[in-house]
Amino acid sequence: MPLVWQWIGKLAQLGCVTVALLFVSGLFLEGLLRVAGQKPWGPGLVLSDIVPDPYSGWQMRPNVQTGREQSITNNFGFHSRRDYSLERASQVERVIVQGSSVVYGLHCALEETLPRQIEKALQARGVSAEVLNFGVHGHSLLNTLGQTGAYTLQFQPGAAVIVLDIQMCYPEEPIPVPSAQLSVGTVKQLSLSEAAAKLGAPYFVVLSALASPSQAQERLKWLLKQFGKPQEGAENPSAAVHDQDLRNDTQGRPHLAEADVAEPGLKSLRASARSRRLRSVLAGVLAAYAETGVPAIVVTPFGPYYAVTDATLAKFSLHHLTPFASEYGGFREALHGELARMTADVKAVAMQYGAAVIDMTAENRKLRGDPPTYFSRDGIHPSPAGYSYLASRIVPALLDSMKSRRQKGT
Amino acid sequence: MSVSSSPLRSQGLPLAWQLVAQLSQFLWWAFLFVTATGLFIEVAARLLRQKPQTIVETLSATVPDPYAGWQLRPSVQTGPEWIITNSRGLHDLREIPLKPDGKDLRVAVQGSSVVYGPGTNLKDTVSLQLERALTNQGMNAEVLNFGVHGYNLLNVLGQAAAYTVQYEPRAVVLMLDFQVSYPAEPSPAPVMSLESSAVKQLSTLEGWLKRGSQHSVVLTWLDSPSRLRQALAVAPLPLKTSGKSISDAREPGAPATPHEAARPKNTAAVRASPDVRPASPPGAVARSRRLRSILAAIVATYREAGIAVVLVPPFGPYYAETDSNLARFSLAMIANHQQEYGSFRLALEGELARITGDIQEIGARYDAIVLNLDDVNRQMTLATSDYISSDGIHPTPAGYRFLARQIADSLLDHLRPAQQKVLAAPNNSEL
Repeated sequence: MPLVWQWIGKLAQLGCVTVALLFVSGLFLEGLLRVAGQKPWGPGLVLSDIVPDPYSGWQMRPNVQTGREQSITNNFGFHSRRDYSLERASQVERVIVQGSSVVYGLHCALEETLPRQIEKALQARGVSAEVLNFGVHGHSLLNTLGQTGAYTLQFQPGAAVIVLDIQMCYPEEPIPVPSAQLSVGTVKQLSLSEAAAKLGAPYFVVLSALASPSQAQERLKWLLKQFGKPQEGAENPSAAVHDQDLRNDTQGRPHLAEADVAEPGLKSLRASARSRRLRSVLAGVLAAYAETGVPAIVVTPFGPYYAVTDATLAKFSLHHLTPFASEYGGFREALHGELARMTADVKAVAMQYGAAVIDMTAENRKLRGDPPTYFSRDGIHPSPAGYSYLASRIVPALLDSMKSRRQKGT
Repeated sequence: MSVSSSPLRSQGLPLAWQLVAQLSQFLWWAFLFVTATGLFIEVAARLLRQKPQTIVETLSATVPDPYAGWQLRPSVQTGPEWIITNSRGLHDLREIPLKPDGKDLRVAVQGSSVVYGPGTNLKDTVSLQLERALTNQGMNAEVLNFGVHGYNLLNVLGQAAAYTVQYEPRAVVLMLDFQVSYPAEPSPAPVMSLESSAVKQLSTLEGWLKRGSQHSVVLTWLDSPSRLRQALAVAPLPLKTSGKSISDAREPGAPATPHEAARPKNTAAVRASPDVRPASPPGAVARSRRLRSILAAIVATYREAGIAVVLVPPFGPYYAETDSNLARFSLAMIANHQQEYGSFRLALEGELARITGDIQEIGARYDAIVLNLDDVNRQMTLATSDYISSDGIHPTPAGYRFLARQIADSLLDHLRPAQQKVLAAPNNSEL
């Protein structure tokens, strides 16, 4: 046999020995990490929270039933342990709540999310209610429009609540160039080796670390610091970063107002372009509900945007407003100016399409503190108490719409 | 070579590794044999005047999209005219900027393949015929073709809100053929794959094969076995020429052009306009609610953006056509409701009446212009009119011309007062 075939045989031998060595080392490391109290991470931490969707951009990954509570989703990707059916049970008032991670309830327990608090409040008033959480991380009104047209109406809701935060009020304008490679937010097509690591992650600590290096770094720091349990209720750093990244990435391209021209004469024109976009997409959502006889309630952005200090304000995740600071002459002015504009736009469109509006401006002016009352440090996501307060504002409007529907006999 | 006589034994390699080495040797020879055979077949096929395929014709005409479901594959600049798209995936030879610079009137036409115009020369599509009709009436107009194969209203909604508004049209024409008028209700259960839109992700091997097929006849045959069957079926030599005229080059399933259509000559079974409308079955109420809801969302989105909307109801010989021709029409969505109405013809008339009524109602409620095609639909047959191809869905160039003139007249009636105001006022739309 020629020399080259002998070398191929030797190379194959070496390959097998290397694989065996790596396997044994991996097992040894796995054993060490288990002894040190580490456990494999649930799929909610290792995999993306969202999956691409052909109509609403992306939806929550469905059937996440293990791992931390903040990642739990049911068969339809709703943040709930209960599975839902498309058919509404008779005598049950079904309400859907749409929005971004604010509705999803990024940093709180399932029982403390806004939809669950609305459901409990309605039930406490004797209404047999089922409130579905349609909140999806990173959604803007454009996603909500797709979600409404494609999915929410199939659930035969008796009412729809659209919770607008600042992010939601800037419907993105995706790049109008089709691409064979679907790129949505932070959803990434995995390579074969990455996929193998992700698939094995729920069973091995070593593969968990390989699948999510940022998580591994965090855990290594913690491991070096102490050998106790992680703090209860601590925010998962990767989840927060994920949502932030998603919102940045899905912007796609700058809005009309993001050009770096700050001529005073253009201010009103730029604001009117943003208004036109917001009104246009919101009108689509509300018209879809109006034509199906589903009463809609729109909640304007809720947040501590007036009475907090500049230092506190600087900590908030309000990067959507940064480009408008030069337009308005300051970040705080831009925040107040844009909030006033959004609220006016929402009211005008809602009036036209027969939707109710819950204007949170008065409440926003009273919120203060660091962290502010009712809010987490990011100034966007309410605390459980904040959700409870928001639910207390939404429930009377829902009861009114139910009463009005009963009177009309629909 | 036997293992016992191998010099490897003297090198001290165990038997297992000797077998690995021999297997590698065997595979190497097999690879050489396959390559040599392939080259031989390739040369023979070339001598028989076979040519590799143009892969753009074999790829999906659409690519997945996160808001509209799918869009046309962009930058298709080779192949027959009916598959051409520009860099933004619009069926147009021109590159279109987002801003309508230098044009008084930009119009977007949205819809399915009826707007796209499969099997039709670009100049005969409804969009370019509308552009000519508007230009003939003194407008400096530009009309963009947003038609995408297989679209229904749900796709149109996503396309409208995500993309069409970015082109800042002054008016949008929605061509509501039967397919468009049944908005899909996709499964609400999220999935990782977007292949539900009939767009298939090729495996790595399939991708290599597809890429290689544009350079090799053998790989072409492996990629598209039907081409090999075609080549084998044709005799005598030469097997086949590769030249294709635009009229020949129809998309699979695309309608025949009027020149090719085998027209039925029997007009004896032509029916008069029905006096009695079929009663709407219960299922029609739910379909109406769905259609109105999505159509309202689209029209409202445009209305709030200050864009005029023209709604074009289904256009075709749906009343007076013979039963045998009706049976050949691509109207599967109507056949689904046949039982509800009692017969296919009643279902067709009932659903057409319902859809037209829904469109008129939404148009009236949201200030959209609605084209009235009822009279022409009632009189039209394949035998007496050259407006529709034999599938009963896609207009012919003459049909597109008719529609373009109707749309242009309605649109200009609507826009002219505003146009005069704009001309009289100082230009302040500099943004």
